[in-house]
Amino acid sequence: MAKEKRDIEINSRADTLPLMGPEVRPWPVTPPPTPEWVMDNVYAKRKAQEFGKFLEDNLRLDFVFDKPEALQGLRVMCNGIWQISRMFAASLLGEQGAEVVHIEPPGGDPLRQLTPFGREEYMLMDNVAGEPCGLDFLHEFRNAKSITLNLETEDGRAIYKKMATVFDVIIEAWPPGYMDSVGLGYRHLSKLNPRLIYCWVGERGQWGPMKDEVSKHGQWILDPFSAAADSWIHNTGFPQDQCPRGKGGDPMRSGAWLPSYVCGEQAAVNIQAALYWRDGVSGEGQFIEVTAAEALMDILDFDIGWYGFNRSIKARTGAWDPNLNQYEWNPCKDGYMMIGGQTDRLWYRIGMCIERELPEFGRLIHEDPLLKEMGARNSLQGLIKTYSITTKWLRDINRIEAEQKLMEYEIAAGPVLYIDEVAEFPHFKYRPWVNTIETQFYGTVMYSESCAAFQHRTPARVKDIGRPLGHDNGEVYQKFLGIGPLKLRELKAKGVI
Amino acid sequence: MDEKELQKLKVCDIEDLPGPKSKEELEEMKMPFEEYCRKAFDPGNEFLKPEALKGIRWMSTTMYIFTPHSVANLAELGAECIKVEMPRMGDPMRQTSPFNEAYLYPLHDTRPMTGTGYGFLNANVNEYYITLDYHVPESKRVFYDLVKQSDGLTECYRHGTFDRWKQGYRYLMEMNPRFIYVWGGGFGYGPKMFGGSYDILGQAHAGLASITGTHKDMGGHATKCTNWCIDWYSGTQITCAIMAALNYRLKTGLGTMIEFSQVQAATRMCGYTAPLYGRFGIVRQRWGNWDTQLCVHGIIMTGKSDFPDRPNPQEKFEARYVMLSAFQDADFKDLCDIIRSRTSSAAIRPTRRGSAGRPRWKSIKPSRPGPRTRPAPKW
Repeated sequence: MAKEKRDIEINSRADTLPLMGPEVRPWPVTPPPTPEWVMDNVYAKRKAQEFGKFLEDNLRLDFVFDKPEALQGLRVMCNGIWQISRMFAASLLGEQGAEVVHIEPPGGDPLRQLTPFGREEYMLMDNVAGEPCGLDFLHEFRNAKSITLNLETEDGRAIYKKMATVFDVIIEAWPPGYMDSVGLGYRHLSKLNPRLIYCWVGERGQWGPMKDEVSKHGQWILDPFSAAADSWIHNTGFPQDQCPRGKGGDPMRSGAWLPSYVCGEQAAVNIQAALYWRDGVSGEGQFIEVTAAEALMDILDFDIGWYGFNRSIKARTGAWDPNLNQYEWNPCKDGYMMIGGQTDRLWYRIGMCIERELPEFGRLIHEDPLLKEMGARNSLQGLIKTYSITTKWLRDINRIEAEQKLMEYEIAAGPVLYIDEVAEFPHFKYRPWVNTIETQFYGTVMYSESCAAFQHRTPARVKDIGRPLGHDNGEVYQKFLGIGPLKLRELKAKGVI
Repeated sequence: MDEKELQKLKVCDIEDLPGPKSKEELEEMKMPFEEYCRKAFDPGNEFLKPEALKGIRWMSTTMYIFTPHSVANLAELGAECIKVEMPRMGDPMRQTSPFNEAYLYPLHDTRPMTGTGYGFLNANVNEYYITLDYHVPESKRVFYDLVKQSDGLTECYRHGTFDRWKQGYRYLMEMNPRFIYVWGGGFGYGPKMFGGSYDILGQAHAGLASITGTHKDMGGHATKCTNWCIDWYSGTQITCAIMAALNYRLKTGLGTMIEFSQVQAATRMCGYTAPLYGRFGIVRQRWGNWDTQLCVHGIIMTGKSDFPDRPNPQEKFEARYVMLSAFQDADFKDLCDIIRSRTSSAAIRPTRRGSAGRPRWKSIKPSRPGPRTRPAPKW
């Protein structure tokens, strides 16, 4: 509730901006449940107080900074523009304690300029130079430093070479062969630093017939080209018999930059495996290439095997799943409700819940001989019948009612939530998963917490988010190359930094 | 001149000079980049190279996709992984197959009636398969012996189940302090600790579904990203956390417990969604195949299929979408020029004043407001 009443005049969208934000409307709007409440109402119900207390005592996010970092001492250089996958890989390492330095050209990464629908008012200004920064870039720029370096100059290349000798990991995302053509590829740098782990990330690869190429004007191939290349987009979305073409019944890209994130995490896994091999076995670094297209193909369920089996090509099935029943979301009164439960145990529990209000569910679904066997329920007719009758129940109730009813039977069910609901969902803010942090340069920022933050010994952590372009030039060049302020000014004048 | 005097004449060692030292090295440096990549990665000859995680042994008491994948990633990197399934039940994924159609031929007796479902195929590669009913007292000793010989375990039971069975982290860390214990599930400790989870629940609950698909105003619905993507994606993130823990153990010899919630992982990939809401209170919507930050950059439908004669309807009717990207000025101008040159004479022909530029098959008369007897013409 507002503390006092104010008179405000709104003439344009600009007038509404200062009415929001973390100072005006702090998050969370309603406080999360207390640990005592959770103990009495959740853990106690299953007689798991002792175990619950053990988890709370050892895994809570509040204790993160009392514990060591797993990758402390690892130096990571992240060099490139455009690809968010390189930034996600770097933040996964940075959250685990690696020292991450982002190298951008003096003009900055164009990702800094991206903002939804080109709305500059949704970018955040830093408190040093007043430069606006797009939120996607900001959100992925974690625990890192920002330096600038012009690799088009001789001096810049010499500096980069020197840096490569004192770093453990380089994550690179330039078009194929660019770094190699200027004499800074893996084959050059590994001569200077044989322990170097060098990882290139991109959409479809840096070699081969469909490798990443820039257009004749220099525009990059970006997310979701990789998802377009391997049937990922082809089988996301509603089929045209559920929704007409052009109105949702089309192949659909993910709303998030999913391919880039899948690529970035795969890069982080491989870098750490290479690190393990280097430190534990061989003492040698290596060259890694991770592409979003291949990372997606690796997780394409069985689609490749199924095609080999009988030339089946997976089609779009909207919010349903051809492999599991029940396992879908369907419309309800105020949105969509997801229900899942495949094994007999869960299947009949869902039925018992719905039957209370819709007795015909039992007669039509449970007593249907074709739906008695687990595998047989997945036939298309089985899905259509089950979901038609389930939706008949759902259409008259709200998400929260459906959730409460299904939870009584301990069914894995949940509403489709929007971000405002996500941020206020009791469990999410209890841990919290969506969290706020007071950053050094951009004020208080809401962000998604690191997924590896809940650990006994070495939890991942977010210490800072975002950085003005080139803010750490002085510190980083002094620390690693001994370049002092005067020399730095000179390099800046020459356009090297 | 003897050897000693030769040494005196030498200015420096060739090893100290920059540049390639041998003919092979010279060739490697002169090779075109693509050729170098092909040589460095050497596809098809992976088995000639060492495995990064050789010697790591991992136990997998997992089901479905999410947690098994975290182990399969390790197995692909060379770890020895043991999948422990319940006798006679097995992983439910063995019973899962698209539209109940494709089952692998039963070559052994685990599922003699139908064979193994395709759902199981890809998430448990390179592993040993054993069965053990680890929750009965008789098997405890076997289970503990395995723990003492292994580096880690991934499990996916409801939180507290393993603890109740005396094989949770609290017990295992006493037996093997180097042990890395991973719990993967939906929510983790907190008010919804005992909530079950699936890939689709992660997509729904974490906000990913709300930003994927076509906006309701354009006739669309919240859309599921395909292929259990959150299961796979968060499984790899578990592997990422495991790798960090392994690297930490290399230094200190200490194991840990990782509690990983897949619902959280789905929120993590939503990019600017959280900061935009937190600062400006704006709730991100779904915008179909548009990219909200780049224009033109999206998927559009073309008039014809690439394969109109193929029998498979997926090829015959669906091979007609292209990914189009021209967001930088010069590319955008080129795109406009192409569209202009293609459309000026064919589809859009000026017919009479007032309707210049409209497609011939469309009426441009606005529908009249007020009561009507006939249904409005469909546009």
